Amino acid sequence: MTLAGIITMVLSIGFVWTLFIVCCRKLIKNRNESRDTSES
Amino acid sequence: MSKITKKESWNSNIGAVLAVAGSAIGFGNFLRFPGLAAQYGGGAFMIAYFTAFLLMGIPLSWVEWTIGRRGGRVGGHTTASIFMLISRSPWWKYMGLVGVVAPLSISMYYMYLEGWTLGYAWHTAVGDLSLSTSEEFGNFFGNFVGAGSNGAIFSGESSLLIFFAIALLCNFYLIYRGVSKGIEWFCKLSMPILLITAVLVLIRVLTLGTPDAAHPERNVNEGLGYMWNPNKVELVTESGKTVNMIPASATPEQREELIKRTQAQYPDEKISPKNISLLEGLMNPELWIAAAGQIFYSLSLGFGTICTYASYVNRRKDIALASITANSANEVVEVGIAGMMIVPAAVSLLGVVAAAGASTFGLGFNVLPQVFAAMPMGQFFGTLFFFLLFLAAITSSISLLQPATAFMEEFWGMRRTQSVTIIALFMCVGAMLVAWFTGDNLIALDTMDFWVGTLSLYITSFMYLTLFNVVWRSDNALNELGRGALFTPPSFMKFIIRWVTPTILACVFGSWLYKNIFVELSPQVSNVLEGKIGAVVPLCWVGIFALFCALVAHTSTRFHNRKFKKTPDNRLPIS
Repeated sequence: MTLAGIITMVLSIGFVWTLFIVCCRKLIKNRNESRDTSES
Repeated sequence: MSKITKKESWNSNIGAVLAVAGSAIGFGNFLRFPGLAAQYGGGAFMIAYFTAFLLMGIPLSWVEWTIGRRGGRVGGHTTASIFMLISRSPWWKYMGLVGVVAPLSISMYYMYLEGWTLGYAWHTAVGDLSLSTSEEFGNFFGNFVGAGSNGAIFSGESSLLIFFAIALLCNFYLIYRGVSKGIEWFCKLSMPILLITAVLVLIRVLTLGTPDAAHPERNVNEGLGYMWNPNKVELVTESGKTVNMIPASATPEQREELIKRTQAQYPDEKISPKNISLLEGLMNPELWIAAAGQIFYSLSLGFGTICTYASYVNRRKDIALASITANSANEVVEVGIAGMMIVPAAVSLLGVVAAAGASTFGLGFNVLPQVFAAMPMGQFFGTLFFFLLFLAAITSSISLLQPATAFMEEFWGMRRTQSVTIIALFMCVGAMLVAWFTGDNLIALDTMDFWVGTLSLYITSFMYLTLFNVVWRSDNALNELGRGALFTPPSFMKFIIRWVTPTILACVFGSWLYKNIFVELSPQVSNVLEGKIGAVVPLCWVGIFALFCALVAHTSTRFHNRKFKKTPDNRLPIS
């Protein structure tokens, strides 16, 4: 595997995982906030 | 007909996200994407792929989610009713039928494929796939799917009929239970299992090292290089046509072997290798079309299912973030897991030559069983992998049945049992036709995939964009997208949705038409023109279902007498 291949792989996989984690965190954070609001 | 059933909705926003992600994750992620990325050389393909994801995937899915949620708010759950309610024109009701007929027609051959995956999981588990040569694996596949002659799987020689029946029953049980108790429940259960299974198989693949000491060039590192290295060597004919690809990391022996094999396929042409750099790769229009096409299939754009699923989302709930989350989950499975799993496994166990140029189904059902047969603990991981494919396929197929079921409920006011029974009848007959006409190299499956699995998706997507940008007007539509959103969609998205996405879609569709009709008439078109029974009969059945849907839409009184209030900002009346 060449250096260019490693860079391509790391950037591609890094991009999709980062996007997924950021979105999930925001969704879960919102769900917890909504739950707290409804409980209070 | 009975009164209209109680309005259904998702229990949670996460349930909706998982259901849409489940709908999108399927064969395209695990089989089609790795094959394309390797064929076009990882680097250049990924640039085009992510460009298409950002400029076509995200905007078009936002359009579908927005139209769907708005439609659900005014009482529509299928493209037929939603298009009419938003446009206020009865003609759109008939145009929207594409989004009802196409998914059900796709499900007709998808069930057959689900039977393959379940059957392969079973046969791997019991050791029937512990074969040795490529020919044996090819014969097993041919006998199992009944590729020899029409009606072969009904003759009792293949076990596929049992798995096919199980797949059908699973789908109808889940769809009968409804949106929250069936689809959402199953997706919440199966998506984590699918991810865990995929990660387990991925770990096994990445720890393969160099499995065969006699072939030191066959290792995981070479496999990853074959998948991701941006530079590649194409094999071209004298006329400049690309016929195969050699990975940049291939040894001279491998190069020679691949050239010989390709030359044998084209005896009348002189085949020669040609180096392609990253920049040259990006200048290739076919690469862009392949990447955009993959995004299209992968995210289930134009299927009509996202629109139906979004119609069950509460009007105050976010859809902007939910859409991106579902898309990113799909990308994680596709790029982050399948991209590192399938091709590296094939290369490290069978070598570059065996993995090169395999088609979607060739990779899945011919190459991969050989990989698992050669892998330590391959029986266990092979079973796990094919079961994973089955789960991925079933979450997709239940989404394909929902628009037609919802259509019967909303237009004729049927109960769930009645609508599922009618849809099951149409689907089962269609699926039986696809499973019957397996001669002539799976002609029915091939024909259906071309006409309803590809052509109709482009048509539905154009309708979505026209409705969003022209009929509804993009300003109003973007306001709807922003309602309840957990983040504000950037203002430049208006320009992208209005101009860039339709242009890309038109280019992809135009080139698809040009390639399949004008350059060379594709076999799927010529089979229909020649009147081959295996191609014509399943399409006629789709036509009968389309006519039935048109009749239902025409005779339904539910949406006929709706009075629309004219408002200055083109807002819809709330039911």
